[in-house]
Amino acid sequence: MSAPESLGKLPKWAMLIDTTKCVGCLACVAACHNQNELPVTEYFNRVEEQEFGRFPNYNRRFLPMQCQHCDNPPCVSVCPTGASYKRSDGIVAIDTRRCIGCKYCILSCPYKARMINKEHGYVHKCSFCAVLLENKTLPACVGTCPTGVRVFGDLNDPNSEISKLAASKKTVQIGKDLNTKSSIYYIIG
Amino acid sequence: MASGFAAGTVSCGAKNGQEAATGIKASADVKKIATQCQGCGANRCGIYVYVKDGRVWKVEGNPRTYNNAGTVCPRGHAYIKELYNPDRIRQPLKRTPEGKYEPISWELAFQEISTKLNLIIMDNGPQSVFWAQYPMANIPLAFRFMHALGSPNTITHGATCFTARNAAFNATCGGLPDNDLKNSRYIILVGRNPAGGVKLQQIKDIADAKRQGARLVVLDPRHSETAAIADDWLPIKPATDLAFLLAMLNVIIEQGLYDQRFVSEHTVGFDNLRDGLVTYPPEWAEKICDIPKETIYRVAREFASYKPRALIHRGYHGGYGAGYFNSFQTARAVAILNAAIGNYEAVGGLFIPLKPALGELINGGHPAPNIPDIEKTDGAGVPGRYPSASYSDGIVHAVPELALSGKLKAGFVYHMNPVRTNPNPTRVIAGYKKLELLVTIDCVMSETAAASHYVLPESFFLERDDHVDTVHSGPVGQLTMVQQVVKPMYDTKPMLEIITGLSKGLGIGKYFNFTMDECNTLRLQPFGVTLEELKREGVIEVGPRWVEGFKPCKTPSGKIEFYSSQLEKWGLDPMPRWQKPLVSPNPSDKNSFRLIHGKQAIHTHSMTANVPYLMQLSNRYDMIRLWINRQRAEAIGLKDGDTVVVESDVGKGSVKVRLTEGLHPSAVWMPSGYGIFSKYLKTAYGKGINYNDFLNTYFDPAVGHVMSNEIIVRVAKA
Amino acid sequence: MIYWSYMITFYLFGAGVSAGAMLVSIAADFIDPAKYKKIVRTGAYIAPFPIMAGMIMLIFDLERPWLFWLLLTTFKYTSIMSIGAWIITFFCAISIIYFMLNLQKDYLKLKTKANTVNAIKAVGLILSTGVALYTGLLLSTLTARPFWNTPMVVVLLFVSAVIDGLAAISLVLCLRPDCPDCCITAPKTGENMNEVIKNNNTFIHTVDFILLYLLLLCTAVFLIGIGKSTESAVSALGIVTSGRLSVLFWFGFVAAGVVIPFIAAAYKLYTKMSTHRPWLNFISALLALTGGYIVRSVIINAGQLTQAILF
Ligand SMILES: Nc1nc2c(c(=O)[nH]1)N[C@H]1C(S)=C(S)[C@@H](COP(=O)(O)OP(=O)(O)OC[C@H]3O[C@@H](n4cnc5c(=O)[nH]c(N)nc54)[C@H](O)[C@@H]3O)O[C@H]1N2
Ligand SMILES: Nc1nc2c(c(=O)[nH]1)N[C@H]1C(S)=C(S)[C@@H](COP(=O)(O)OP(=O)(O)OC[C@H]3O[C@@H](n4cnc5c(=O)[nH]c(N)nc54)[C@H](O)[C@@H]3O)O[C@H]1N2
Ligand code: SF4
Ligand code: SF4
Ligand code: SF4
Ligand code: SF4
Ligand code: SF4
Ligand SMILES: [Mo]
Repeated sequence: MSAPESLGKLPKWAMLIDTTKCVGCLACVAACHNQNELPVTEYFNRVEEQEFGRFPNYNRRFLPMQCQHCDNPPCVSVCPTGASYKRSDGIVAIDTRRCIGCKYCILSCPYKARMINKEHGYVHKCSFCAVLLENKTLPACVGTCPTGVRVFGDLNDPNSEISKLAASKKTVQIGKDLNTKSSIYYIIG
Repeated sequence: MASGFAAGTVSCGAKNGQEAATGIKASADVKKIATQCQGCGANRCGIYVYVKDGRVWKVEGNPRTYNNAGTVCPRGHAYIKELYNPDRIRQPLKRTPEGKYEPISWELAFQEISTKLNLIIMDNGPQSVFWAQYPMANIPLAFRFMHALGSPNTITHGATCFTARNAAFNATCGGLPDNDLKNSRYIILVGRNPAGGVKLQQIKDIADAKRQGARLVVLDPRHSETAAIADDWLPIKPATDLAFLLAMLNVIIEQGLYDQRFVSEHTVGFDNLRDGLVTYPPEWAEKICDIPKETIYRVAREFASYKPRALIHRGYHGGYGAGYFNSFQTARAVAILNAAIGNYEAVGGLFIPLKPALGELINGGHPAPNIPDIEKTDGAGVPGRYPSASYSDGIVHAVPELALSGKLKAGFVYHMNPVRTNPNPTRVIAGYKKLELLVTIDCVMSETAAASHYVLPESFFLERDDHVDTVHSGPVGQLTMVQQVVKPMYDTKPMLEIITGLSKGLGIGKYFNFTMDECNTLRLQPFGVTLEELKREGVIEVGPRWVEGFKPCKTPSGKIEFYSSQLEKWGLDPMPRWQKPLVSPNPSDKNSFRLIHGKQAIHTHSMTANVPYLMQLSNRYDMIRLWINRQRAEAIGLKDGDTVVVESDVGKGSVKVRLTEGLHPSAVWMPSGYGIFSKYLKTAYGKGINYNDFLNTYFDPAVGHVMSNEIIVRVAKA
Repeated sequence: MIYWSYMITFYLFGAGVSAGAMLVSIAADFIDPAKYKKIVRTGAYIAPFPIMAGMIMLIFDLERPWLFWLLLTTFKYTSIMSIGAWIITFFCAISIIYFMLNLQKDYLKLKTKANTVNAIKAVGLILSTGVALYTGLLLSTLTARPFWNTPMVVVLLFVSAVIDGLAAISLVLCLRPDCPDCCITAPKTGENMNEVIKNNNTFIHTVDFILLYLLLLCTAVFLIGIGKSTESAVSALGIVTSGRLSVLFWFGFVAAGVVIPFIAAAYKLYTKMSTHRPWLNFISALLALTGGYIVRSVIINAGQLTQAILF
């Protein structure tokens, strides 16, 4: 892609999560917690544990979950005040000043990605660390992961690691049948 | 990493609606300071701490430190907030006759402690005094303090953690090697779970090796978190790894799969070993360890086929650190198997880390105390007692015994909590309470602090400078340090100031005539590195890089010793042979299990259960549960989430169960980070139970370790 | 996790009763304003109030009630809640006008042009249909919630709304203490009271019977549909039929909300109400209303307890 073109093009932020590498350590959960200065009981991401098989042919899978920054986000379409919105770089954001706390978006999200802030009453969630992105820094959960489960980047840049991985590996979008068009791609072994 | 991204940029400026969108305030004053995490003593990861508007905000990994390479574990993120834990000790405390703690000034505390200690030393000699601590960066200062007093009794946590492993590797190859996991093609973990018993570098290197196509085999009775990314999980019956390993050796030797050149050039005792192994074929082992013989054959062959780029991880605590009666010989077998495929000092194998020798304080004119010429009171390294035990680690759980028998009279406990982390709390408390003087230096009222005469609060790690550290040394030497990030919040002092204060009244003041900065400057002198550079960079590499190629061992023969005449001299088995575990569950009792334990990534020993955020994670993920094999649980009428009573001949307690297919039927598995009983630790108090509650006080005959998995419990519905 | 409390249940219930009452009233007016005037008027008198109470509940269920006004300064056509907020606002307005319209005949003696009256009724009909559909649509459009995400929820809540409206009317007719024969106003001279009562009752019972029969069908189709759909929906059904909502479901939803009122309506029709029994009307109306509330409560809770993605 020629320089002017790629310069003119907005990024399309996305994440790739390779569950075959996840050991469920929760470092990403704790990193997110500090980054976003959340109260002790609130969180933007979580790690689900799934078990398969019977002893001794048994396995577990750890599956990190957070806002999928859907391209067809039900949370945005149901929000009655426009507090939830989709940015042009793909990030689904919340203008907390416009949030009335009706919780309709929470119920509309198939990924349980949203949470009420107890102190202020607004709904908040993973922002893909938008503030860090402005400074060209990776999201907190990505940088801290010891096994490199999480790859973050720009899907509009064909040279980004995520674009290459998305092209070369078999990935799935969770809840694809719900037509949310999520921006998090999973590798599930 | 995605193009155009930097890790570690100062980032706070929030513009155009971001504040509303993220709740992060715009244009805060953010500083980023390099230091070392103290969320666990084991790793001391290099980190950057961000301070926003004067308040500690978040951490990031230092990308260059060996142990973490840019990453941070969950404890590391959460532990910085302990700075603000209301349970912190805010000034020195002294126990009143009623058992309460009241504030005392530092001056008076120093005076009273040194007066008492002088009297004790006068009456009982310096060998009646001990200093126990987890070996943090400051440990050279503790050694200096004790040696100045004339006492050899510096003790670490080792006997509760890893001494069987260390002693076995010392006997075999003269030191504790590191694992070149990243370049290995075939990795076997025997009761090692770097994803839960976290070492970030190791789990990262395993993931990297796997990306390059390496195979990972996990031998663990429990499906560990590392097993979740393994190619093979071999759910071995606990306490029987030795049988598995002997059978592997048998296959490798019988079938001539070993590295013949390496064995003939760099090892001694191969013939004795081969003769000894005829009795241990896989057909024999499968009956003992519950792993089918076909699997043993396969793993042995695969392991040898990648030689020398294959390794059995040197291990840590879980498998054979201090767990079983046969742990020492199990670790010997691990060391020997590695040597049999010639992976010592080979790429993708084991290597002795390159630890740089720090500068001496004597170069600054500070006299060095002599190492006392007396045996350690606990018998570590003493022929006839625990000859193979490490002199520098000692035997920590012997302290209560020695206190009860009057051999130890006074002690300092620094950055350690033996009352909670040693076996059988009732007995440990009785022992520590018997001491005439117990001084604990901690940041919170641990169980040990709550049994002490004096509690001296150390400044939190974010509030102080520590001694220069070499813990990050691996394939190259690295210097790192704990550096002050914020000013102390309370009337606390760093460790050096505490022992300096004590030294005056003890007549050893001349040994502590320097500040931390002077000390560290001298330590750095040989490397031409200034303290400012180190503080700015957080880590500095020094000395040569590791290169492949065998180096003479620090064993009597200079070679790797399959057969150890040294061990023979001490009356120990010179070669590994099968040893039964000390205790076994009763096969005719449906409620009888072996109790094993392990780390969860979110907790460190006894010291993080009181971190509110981490305890919240324990609850949210329902992690305070005893694992039990589903079929066995159902046979005694248990459902997932039921509460059970666990009972051994030492203790009793109740806990919720997690029914799982991921655990060997003979055992129950308990997370080891709970069961805090110091009522001063309000978040953790009374949540969960701990394996030490059920563990007898044992001393393994070779090195005196705790044998922490030799526990039989009865489990029944509450 | 429960995010929408009983206040939202009440809000949906209130909206249903209001919309139902209005619908029934306008329908009765359309069929025969003179014959069914009691139904017409009672319906008009009820319509504005439950929904207003519901709105207050809705506001207090918000985490930030003081920002409630934002709902009414925004219109988002993708958001059923936003559409609903506007429909309800207009409904409230029209229901108040309709209320006045019915009052004026008796008390205000104002003159309104017939065309205007018809227009009001037409708008009222549309808006009340809108409100009655809205309560179901609010839930059924959420793909994340398998228990809600079926058109049957819309049909079920719509039918239930009309039944509730009818029950509310019936209840008020019985409640009028100074008129044991269910007259809301004194009979005009020459009017045969028994005839009036009989006409109105027959209307109520007939419609009730038909709707309850429909509700019975809808419920069956709804549950069977869920039982035959995704794994997560089946688990939702489990929570409802044998889990923590089962008592509420079997006794409240099925028994009180559907089966008993259906049997009562059938009985009343069968006996042709030859003897007028206000207590029976009263009890069955009360039961139907309670059932209507519980139907919503069960649906609201079951939907929240389940997810399309099971982790
Ligand atoms: N999160 C966290 N990380 C830590 C620490 C911490 O406290 N918390 N502490 C650090 C320290 S000091 C240490 S020593 C290390 C410990 O690190 P590890 O030794 O890896 O940790 P453990 O969890 O004690 O034990 C690992 C596994 O051993 C298994 N095991 C038990 N018995 C047997 C057996 O008979 N055979 C085999 N094959 N496996 C067995 C257990 O099921 C467990 O899964 O972790 C270090 N890292
Ligand atoms: N209950 C239990 N017992 C265990 C284990 C376990 O997991 N659980 N694991 C076993 C193993 S592998 C090991 S290595 C040992 C570890 O045994 P310990 O070293 O006794 O364990 P920790 O819980 O890490 O104790 C650290 C103590 O240091 C204090 N501390 C923390 N930060 C500072 C500081 O900055 N300055 C000072 N002065 N003190 C500080 C903490 O409050 C805590 O009291 O325990 C063994 N026994
Ligand atoms: S930090 Fe990485 S390995 Fe740990 S839980 Fe998160 S994604 Fe999984
Ligand atoms: S995951 Fe949920 S919160 Fe995030 S964009 Fe999709 S629907 Fe919205
Ligand atoms: S809770 Fe806030 S963000 Fe969510 S739908 Fe309601 S107004 Fe929008
Ligand atoms: S991208 Fe940022 S906000 Fe989202 S889960 Fe990761 S750390 Fe949290
Ligand atoms: S492993 Fe975790 S707790 Fe231990 S030093 Fe590293 S970041 Fe801190
Ligand atoms: Mo340890």
